[in-house]
Amino acid sequence: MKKAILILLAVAFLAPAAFARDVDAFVGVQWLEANLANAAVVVIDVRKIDDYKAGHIPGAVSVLGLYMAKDGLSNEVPAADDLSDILADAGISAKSTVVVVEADGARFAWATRVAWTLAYAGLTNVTILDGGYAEWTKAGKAVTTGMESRTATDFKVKFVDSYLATKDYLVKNIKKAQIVDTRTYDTYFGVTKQAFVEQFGHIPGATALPAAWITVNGLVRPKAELEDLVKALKLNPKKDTIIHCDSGVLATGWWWILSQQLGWTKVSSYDGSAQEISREPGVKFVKAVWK
Amino acid sequence: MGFVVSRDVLESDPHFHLNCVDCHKGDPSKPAQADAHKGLVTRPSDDPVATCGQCHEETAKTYTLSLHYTASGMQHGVSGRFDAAGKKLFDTKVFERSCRSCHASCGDCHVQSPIVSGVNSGFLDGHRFVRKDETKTCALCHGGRVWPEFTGDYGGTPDVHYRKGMTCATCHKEIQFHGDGTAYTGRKDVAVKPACADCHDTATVAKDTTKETHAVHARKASCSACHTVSAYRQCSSCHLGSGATSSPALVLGENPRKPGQLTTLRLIPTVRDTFKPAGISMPNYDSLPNLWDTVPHSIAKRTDRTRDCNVCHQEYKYYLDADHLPKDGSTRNLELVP
Repeated sequence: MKKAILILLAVAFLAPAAFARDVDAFVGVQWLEANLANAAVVVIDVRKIDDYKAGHIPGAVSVLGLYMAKDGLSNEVPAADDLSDILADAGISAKSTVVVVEADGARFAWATRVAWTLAYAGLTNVTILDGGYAEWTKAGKAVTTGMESRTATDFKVKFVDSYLATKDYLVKNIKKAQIVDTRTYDTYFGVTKQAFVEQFGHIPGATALPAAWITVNGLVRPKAELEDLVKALKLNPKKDTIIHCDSGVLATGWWWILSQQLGWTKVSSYDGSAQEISREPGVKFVKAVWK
Repeated sequence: MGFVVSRDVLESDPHFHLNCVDCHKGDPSKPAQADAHKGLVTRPSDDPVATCGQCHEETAKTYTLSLHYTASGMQHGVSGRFDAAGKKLFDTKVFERSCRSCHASCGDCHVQSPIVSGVNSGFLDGHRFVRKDETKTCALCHGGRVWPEFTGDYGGTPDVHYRKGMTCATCHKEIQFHGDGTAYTGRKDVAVKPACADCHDTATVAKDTTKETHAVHARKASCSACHTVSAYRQCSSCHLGSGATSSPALVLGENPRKPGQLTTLRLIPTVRDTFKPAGISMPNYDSLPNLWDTVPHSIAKRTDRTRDCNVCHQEYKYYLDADHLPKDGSTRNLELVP
């Protein structure tokens, strides 16, 4: 009996944040409007500053600089102290429910990149406004102009290491883990590539699951459809899963779906992605094959 | 058929107490377009005093002396490389016909976006006159450098000031856009310009160690030497006539305008035969360096240099290196190697 209790406690402590969230992985305009007055809800607008100033959701604060170029890689997480400052200045605390607002559905992956960063920084209740600011204005909801701010907090990030895959982790687990490639079929197959990626094709054994499949008409597909897509590719929810793309943005789209919406517990996003791993001499990409 | 100016604009903008012909001339009494457009002035504010100056007299008069209007920096920045004959040729053949086409009229910032490389992105807000719209005006002319470095779009991180909602006019006040009534030869001579110390008093920062660090480096390094966070654009062959190339780099070296100060340097793309197609040689090419002090708008509180003294004091990371100076560049470049 004692052993069973210990096991249950261990499971409870090790369970990832996905199970502990108090808000869905995505929220709609109606939910956001109904919760705007809730002091625990912090709406962060991650569009360009001039777009934010020209019009934003009342109460939303502008937050930029959540991804940055570093060490030859296009999109990296800021240092812990810098990230802590950015989030604390935005009025975010560990208990906040943070709503990420990007421009529209076309910027979905940038919204998930921000949301993933916040989750990686240790925040549990992070959600994304489905369809972004475009959906808010389309619904004719109130907007305001200029800059807004919230009282700063003393928030300090506490990285959830299991959410981020490093190059070394990928190399070590390249044959054991389930690797998901979220780039386009053309890129995966080796027909084309980004200039900053050194090899055509994909990591041997990686499964193609394009990020473009997540949304339709600017909105996230229904959960059941997303589940069907994943099931059809025979991806195993219980297996250690490493998701990547070209530079660490698109990958977070499927990371968000699998980890935060579908509840997979062993998913990490590799933010160095193909940009970094394609430079690794020991990793030879394969072309013109589907696995 | 649509009209250039909508009724809404006509009714809401006090500038339309005037008629179109008051600024654009032409002859409204003629029904045929060709006749009506005879004598049409498409860019009335190219002559600020004659148009805008009718009401904004002081500003227009001052503006005609400003660097935005005269583009004088482009003229004088390179003039030290010519002999007297070459300078005369440059002033008439190159500057007036090419560089000066960049001068900004009042309308370029207050009515429509400026024309850059022949491309005009149109009116700022119908034909309404706007006080400022930095992202459509400043950002176009200063869009190769500065603006994308400021927003983080040049592959870096957004400047801390941009992140906090500041844009050009937050620091650069009206006097810098319109001028102060003095005809300067270049930016370096302008009397009033923004300085970090206008807002940041390093003597009153919170931590003693930070105070001490700033005190120790104050005379030896510019603010940007330590607080520039991202690599910025270095242009290497823009004026060669065979297309432009540029690459990002953060370069630290001696300030050519302030001996003894380490600062951020930017490669300015004048090469030995830049003006050869115009028949102008530069016998004094070596009198000026190819790298100049710059303030990249890519500022952060913490950088690798503020985090770790060894980045500069042991590794000399980013330091200009004699082996990597531009090939066949000015001999003066060597003086900038720290």
